[in-house]
Amino acid sequence: MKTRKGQKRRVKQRRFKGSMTLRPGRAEAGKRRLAAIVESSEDAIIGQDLNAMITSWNGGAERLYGYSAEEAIGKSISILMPPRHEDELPKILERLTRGERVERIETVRVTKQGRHIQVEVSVSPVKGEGGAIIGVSTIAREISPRKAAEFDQRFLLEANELLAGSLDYRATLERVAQLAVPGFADWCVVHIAGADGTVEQIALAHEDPAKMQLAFTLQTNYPPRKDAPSGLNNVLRTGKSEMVSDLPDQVLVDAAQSEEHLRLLREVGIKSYMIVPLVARGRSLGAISFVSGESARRFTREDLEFAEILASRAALAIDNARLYSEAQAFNEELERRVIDRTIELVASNRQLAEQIEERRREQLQLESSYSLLRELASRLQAVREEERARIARELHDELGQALTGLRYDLSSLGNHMPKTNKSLLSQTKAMLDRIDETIRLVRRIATELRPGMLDDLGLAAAIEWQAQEFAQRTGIELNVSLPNQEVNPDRERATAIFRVFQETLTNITRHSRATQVDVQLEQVDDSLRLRVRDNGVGFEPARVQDKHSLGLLGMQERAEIMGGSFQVESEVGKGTIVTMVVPL
Amino acid sequence: MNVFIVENSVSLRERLTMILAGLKGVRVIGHAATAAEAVQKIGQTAPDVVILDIRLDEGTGFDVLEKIKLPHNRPVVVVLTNYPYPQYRARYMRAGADFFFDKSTELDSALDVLKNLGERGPLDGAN
Repeated sequence: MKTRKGQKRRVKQRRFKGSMTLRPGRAEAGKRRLAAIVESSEDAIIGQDLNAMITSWNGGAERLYGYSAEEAIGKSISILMPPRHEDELPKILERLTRGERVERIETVRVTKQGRHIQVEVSVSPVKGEGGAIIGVSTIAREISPRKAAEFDQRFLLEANELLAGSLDYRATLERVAQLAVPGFADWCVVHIAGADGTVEQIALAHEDPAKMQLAFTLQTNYPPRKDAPSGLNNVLRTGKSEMVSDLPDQVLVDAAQSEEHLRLLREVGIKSYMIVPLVARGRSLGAISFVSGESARRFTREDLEFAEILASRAALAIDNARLYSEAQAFNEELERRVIDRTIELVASNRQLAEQIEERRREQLQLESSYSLLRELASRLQAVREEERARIARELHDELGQALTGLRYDLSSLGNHMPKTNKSLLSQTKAMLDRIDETIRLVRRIATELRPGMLDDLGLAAAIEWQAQEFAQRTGIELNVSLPNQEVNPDRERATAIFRVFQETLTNITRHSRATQVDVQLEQVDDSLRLRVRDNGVGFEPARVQDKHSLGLLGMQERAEIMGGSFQVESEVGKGTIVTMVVPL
Repeated sequence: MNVFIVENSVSLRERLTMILAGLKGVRVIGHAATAAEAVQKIGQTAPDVVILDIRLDEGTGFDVLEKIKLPHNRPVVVVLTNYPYPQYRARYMRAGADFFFDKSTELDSALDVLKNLGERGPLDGAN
């Protein structure tokens, strides 16, 4: 769009006034024509001043509300207002003053006969000379059956929303009951059946608080009989709706338990009612009662269908809420159990900790008794070694020397024998041989007990001697490698290493079928290491654990007593390596 | 030829003394049963030959051998022992012993050595 330069585009705003302006001095004919139109209108057209006093009343108003113009004009407009609607008028005036339009609002009015009717009203301000509001004009018409249905539909929608929106079904049903009043019914009561057969009224909505009190008194003083052939209990029992479109006075008379009861019943003024059960999953949870009194509305089949739809939704809401609360209770129970279980767990944990502590103490005791046992075993071994050494020495030295002396004597005797006595000489020779044999035997026994070499010459010499003795005895080839420098472990260590060496050799002859054994004794740092390797059949170390394990255990024990280590490496077909390391 | 006997067994010492006394030119000049006594007496008597046992009442023949290896007047040492194992032999020979015999079965060999030594007259050194 092109705009011319230097010229601002101006939009002229016009104000239209929607108000009706009375202009005196205009044609009287026109005024009369207007009045005729108003008078003949089907709609109720009512004028009022700012004090809410009725100033005009047309025929439509008379037809709708039942008051004649004479009766109405000069009265307050509040004669048309049902209870709880008194503040409607000031609110409308306020909106008009703000310049808002008040059109086609739906509300309730009460007729001269006390009937509540649903109406649609449009309110216009009436302005004076200076344009100030001096009154209002209201056009009202009764809502058509179509409109009523719309109202019902909206009510159902709102009720639906309420029912779906909350799990607090008591509060929700109370609001639904209030929603039903006065548009759908003049009162609405909701009863809930407990699991124990009791019936509780959880909601009561009534257009008129005074009537509500009355209804309450009626309910309290004359509770419906359980076995009544109709009414609330029957609906709860059968799960079937009840509707009475037009309640004859005779029914009240028949139902009344006393004069007072009848008076109350008549005062409540029931004209028409419906009781619909709240059924969910085949169970009657309660009932909603819709009662028409003042409005003189007569419930129809359509109304009943509508009420049943509402009731089914309400029942569903109740059922859901109950299921939810059951689930919640279940949840709480679960949580409680979790807590209980946790407490139990904590307790058993503590118990476990105590048991562990107990075990630890036992372990310590065991360890201390084990070390005591080890000490004892070590001591025993030392004592045994000592004993062996003593016996060996006594055998070797005492017995050996004695035999040596005997041999000297016999030898000397032989030397002094006549050389001619051959028999005597040969006997002497045989005796000498036997003495020599005995000497060798004594030496062998003594050396087996404990070789003197270990004490006189040290470990290396003892190992060398043992290796030679072993090779001679078994025919197995032995290569011995000894440290170049003198190693002098103390007696205890030397004994341990020597005994392990002896036992290893014994194991080799027993199990290995080796033909060659390499023995190496060397000093590694501050430790002495003995390594014996054979070329025998070997074994699976795991399998030996139980079999010859006592011997191996004994050797291990010997090493560990001195803070050393003992290790056996073997593989089937690959020979065995025994390694013992003892710190010096 | 003066011979000193280091031997802790009294009965064997007596027998040896008797046997040695029967050898021509051999004179037993003293004996000892402990290492310390032997070292002391050998120092005093300066024998030509020492018959040395290994196991003594106190100490061993080795202790004696180490102490009597003097630069001059060194006696011939004949080890006569009931421990005739090669390890002892090696050790003693290495330490300066001249002969090493089994006390029980090789006495005759020892006596042969003494006889030879006696026949050769005064000794001035080993081998």
